[in-house]
Amino acid sequence: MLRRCGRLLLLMTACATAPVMAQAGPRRLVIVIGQSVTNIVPTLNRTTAVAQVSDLVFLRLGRYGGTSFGDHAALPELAKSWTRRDSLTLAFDLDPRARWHDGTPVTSRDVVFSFARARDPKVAASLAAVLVDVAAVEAESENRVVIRFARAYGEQLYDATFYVQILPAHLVAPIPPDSLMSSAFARAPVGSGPYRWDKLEPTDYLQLRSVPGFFLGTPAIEQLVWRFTTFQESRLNLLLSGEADVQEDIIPPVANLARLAERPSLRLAHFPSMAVNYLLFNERSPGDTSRPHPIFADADVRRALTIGLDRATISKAIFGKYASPASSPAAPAAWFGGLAPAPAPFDPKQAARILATRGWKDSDGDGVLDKGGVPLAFSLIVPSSSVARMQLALIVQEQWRRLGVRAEVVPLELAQFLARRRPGNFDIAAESYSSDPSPWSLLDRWGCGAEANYGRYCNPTADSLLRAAHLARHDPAPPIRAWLRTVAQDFPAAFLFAPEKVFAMPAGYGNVTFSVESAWQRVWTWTLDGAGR
Amino acid sequence: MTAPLVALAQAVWKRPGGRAGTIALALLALLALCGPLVLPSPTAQGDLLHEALLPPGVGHLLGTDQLSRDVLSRIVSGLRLSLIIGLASAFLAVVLGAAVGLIAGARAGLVDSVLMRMVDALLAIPRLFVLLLVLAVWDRVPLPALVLLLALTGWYGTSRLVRAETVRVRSEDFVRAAEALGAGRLRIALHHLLPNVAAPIIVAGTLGVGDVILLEAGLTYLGLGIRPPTPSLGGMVLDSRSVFVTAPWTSIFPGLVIVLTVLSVNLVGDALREALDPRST
Amino acid sequence: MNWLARRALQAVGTALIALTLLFFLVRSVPGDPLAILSEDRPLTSEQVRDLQRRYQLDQPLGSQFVAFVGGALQGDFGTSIQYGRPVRQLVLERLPRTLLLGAAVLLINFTLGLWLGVQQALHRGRPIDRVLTTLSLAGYATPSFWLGLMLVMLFAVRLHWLPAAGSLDPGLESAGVASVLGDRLRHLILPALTLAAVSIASSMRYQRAAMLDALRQPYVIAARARGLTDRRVVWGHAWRSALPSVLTLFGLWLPILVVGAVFVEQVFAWQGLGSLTAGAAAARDYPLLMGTAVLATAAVVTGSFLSDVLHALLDPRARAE
Repeated sequence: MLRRCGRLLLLMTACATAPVMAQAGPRRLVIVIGQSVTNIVPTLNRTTAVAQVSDLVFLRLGRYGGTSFGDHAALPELAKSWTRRDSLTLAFDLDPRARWHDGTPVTSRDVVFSFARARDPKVAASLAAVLVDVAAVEAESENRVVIRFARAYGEQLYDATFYVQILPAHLVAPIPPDSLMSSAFARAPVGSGPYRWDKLEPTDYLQLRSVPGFFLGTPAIEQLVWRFTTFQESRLNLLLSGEADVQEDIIPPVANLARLAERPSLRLAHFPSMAVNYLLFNERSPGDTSRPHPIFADADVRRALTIGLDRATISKAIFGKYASPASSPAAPAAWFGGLAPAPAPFDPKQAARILATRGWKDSDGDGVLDKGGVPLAFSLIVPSSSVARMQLALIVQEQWRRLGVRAEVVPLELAQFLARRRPGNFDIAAESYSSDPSPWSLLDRWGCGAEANYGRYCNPTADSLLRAAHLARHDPAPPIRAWLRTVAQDFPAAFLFAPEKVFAMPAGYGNVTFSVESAWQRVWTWTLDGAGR
Repeated sequence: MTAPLVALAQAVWKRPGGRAGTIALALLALLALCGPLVLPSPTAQGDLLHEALLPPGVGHLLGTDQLSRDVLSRIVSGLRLSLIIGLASAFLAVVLGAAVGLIAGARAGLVDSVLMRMVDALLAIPRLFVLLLVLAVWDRVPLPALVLLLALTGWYGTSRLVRAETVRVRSEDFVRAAEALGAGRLRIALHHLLPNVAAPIIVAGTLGVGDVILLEAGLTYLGLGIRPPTPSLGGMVLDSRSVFVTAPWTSIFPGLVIVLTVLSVNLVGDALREALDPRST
Repeated sequence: MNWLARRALQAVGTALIALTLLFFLVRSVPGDPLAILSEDRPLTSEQVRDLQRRYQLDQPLGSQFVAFVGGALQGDFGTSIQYGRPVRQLVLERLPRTLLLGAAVLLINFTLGLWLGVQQALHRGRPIDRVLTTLSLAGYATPSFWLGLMLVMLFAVRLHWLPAAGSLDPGLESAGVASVLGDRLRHLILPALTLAAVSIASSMRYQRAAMLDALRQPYVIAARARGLTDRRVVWGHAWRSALPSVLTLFGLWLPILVVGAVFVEQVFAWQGLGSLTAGAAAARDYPLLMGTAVLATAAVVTGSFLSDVLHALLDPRARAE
């Protein structure tokens, strides 16, 4: 009896290990990402992972044109052209060929409806705050929308096109906003983009299918699959075993590049991103924001801690050549990134001198500086899910140790990290922030009293500079440059570097471009010359 | 009191499994104690750009990890920590379990019922679940707290064992005789019950060490136990996740050491169990 | 039957006490369950108040408990704070995968484990017995997450024989039943083997002991006296009294599925209940935590209850207790 069982088992194993070929071919791209995506309807949820899928299904009036200022801030998408009627009004002509995935044409009614939703604080609080200068959105005809602004400023076109994804009014308007998340529409969204919703296996993958008659050109890649693996171990493995085609964020660790080089069928794609890594100093006392932080309220100490770090070496150790130094929240990839000053050079001796001048001496010989009985010791919170930041934290800890500073690395689950960061219950937080292309959006994080200003940095002069830039009608560069210089000198954070996005993908695709603000936005323009598995 | 212990040790040594386990454990303990004296610092980061992820070779017997730290010295540090946590925690758990079991078995009646119902309920809650929950709270788990937590979740089995033995022994004639002669309860416990329940306690304790070492490694792997930069075996496997394909030595060796340690402990425990209860062979 | 009812009542009572303890433990652990909802744009205080009302976090602990029990009795464990979906839905979504993995592990344990244990009993004291014991102990001593990593490195990355992660291949939705089945099986092999390797020691030991015990029975000694070889005795007679003991082991394995498999789920991206629980603990997602806690406790209690019942049914001697 046992022998028969054994034979059956062997047979089953043989069947199982016979390779099973899925639908092979270059027309299908499997992308491995580290988060799961369940709901891509705009305004409901917007993490980076959700955004890159959502942007392929739901289009905007125009897509980002490389700058946020002036009337070249957008390139045609749903709107094929626009005219400026006066300093407060823009008129958009919709492309008559644009269609929803159910066949109905995209009309100005959809645009008006989508803007009304986005500007409603009860439905989309964060978007409404950003669109505060949009005064009115009206449909002038079936294909023309007129947007009026509350005042004359340089980012009007950007505000009108970057933030609002257009939803189908005929499908979404009847649904009460509270039940949109659980509605049938959310489970099978209908958009106007080059890809349509296909299916979702909630914890495994999400699939999009190309729209054959897409008005801007039929996509060559027919299926896009995003596989979710929240577990780091599996990501590279899926790529190397051939079960996935693309891995986002293949570095760190840089060592992965060597493995990749062994595979001629895979190539590297790297492009700049809007992300900047920095160590955020909490300038108020943790747990009691009315009192200044005993260590970090002192700008000179912050400066010493920053220049005491060999940022170039850290950057190279973690990202190899795929990162550039940063001195401010502006990523070099931002259109205003070039306006940022050069980072303060690595100078540990100077750092030690500054600390000594500020009263920090090692009076008890334990290797840690102290002042008035208080040691220069603090905790550094890091989200444990970020490979780069975990590595970074340990290197930084060691470099500060050589200066006589004791930092305790505290890895936290993402939820805990956010929970500590929001009320300011931390000393230093290892952050990675991708800003929007508009410098004005930096006020969200660095403006006095801003909700997301977790370090409680406050420089009213700097704020007024950003405001001046926002309202500038012709050349916003000088106030932006001044703001960047001010922030670089205030050291609200130890700005480290701006990593590029490095993807591993199959060789053979043509016309490969990635968007800085939303990686996969241009995937529908890729061609298939010579691509194969 | 010591004569039976010596006999026990001899019995363990006689069995090939017990002997192998004891020797291995002794070697590991020696490594853990003396290693740090001759090996480089486990937390020192070398040249990040040129000394990271070096394969095993001269200078770094087991290679280096991502932050150019010597793998062998980290393993030795981690081993020392694991052994300390394992021994301390298992010891505490045994003491706690024995105490509860003795009380329950000796007093019987309501006390016994209540205690054993509580043990049943506590046993129904998966150990890992409680550990996951409580450890997710602390930023940095102080070592004594971790040991205490592991002990507090691991004494249930021992208490049941001890209670059963206590009940059995209590009904034996010599105990009844001692009670009749007016000997105090504590005296009875120490002189009569304890030597007889020592057998299952020792076995449970020894096997408990291995369980705790595995648990601690697992919890650290989930990010909950020992935090960086303190080297720990589970932590090393955790850190190696992103590089284990390109630099397998960063995860192979720490894992092997865990296997070796727990295996040795369990071999000794097994030999003990055989020696104390020949029926099980 | 009286005994059965009593035992069942005992099981229920144990479960209730355990759940009460857990409920208050979960709530007493500090941490803000709403933190996960404010990833990039922080919640306004109005939104916070709204959410607190929705999840009843502003009620006193006692009434939260009552609400929980009330809901639990109807099978409603509330809405997960992390995911915004009903807890029941989340659990049911992952249950099939957990059950699949569990079933595979149990299958391996109770076929291979059984057989090896019997071999050990038959060759008691001889080298093969010792070798098998040591091997099984080595398996037990292996951390499951590490073993999983090693297996993936070998079989998936280097040899390409088996998939590296996940429970299925997204590309097969239009393939035939056989391909889909084969694909699921392929994804199941490594995780199941990993879990089986670390757990087989108990099954082997149990079976070995049970078989040895059976071999000492009078009727077996009599059979031997009649000239039957040990092998014939084992396969012919002793099986029957050894099997029940092993079936009782089955009952004790249930809890592993809910929490214990979390490490393997991590390595193989096997989206089962273990990782759901671990995530809920980290995020202080109270409703989800309590939902999985109920499941885990129910598994343990049911397991030991079943184990006792099976043992008693098949072996009348035990019922005397």
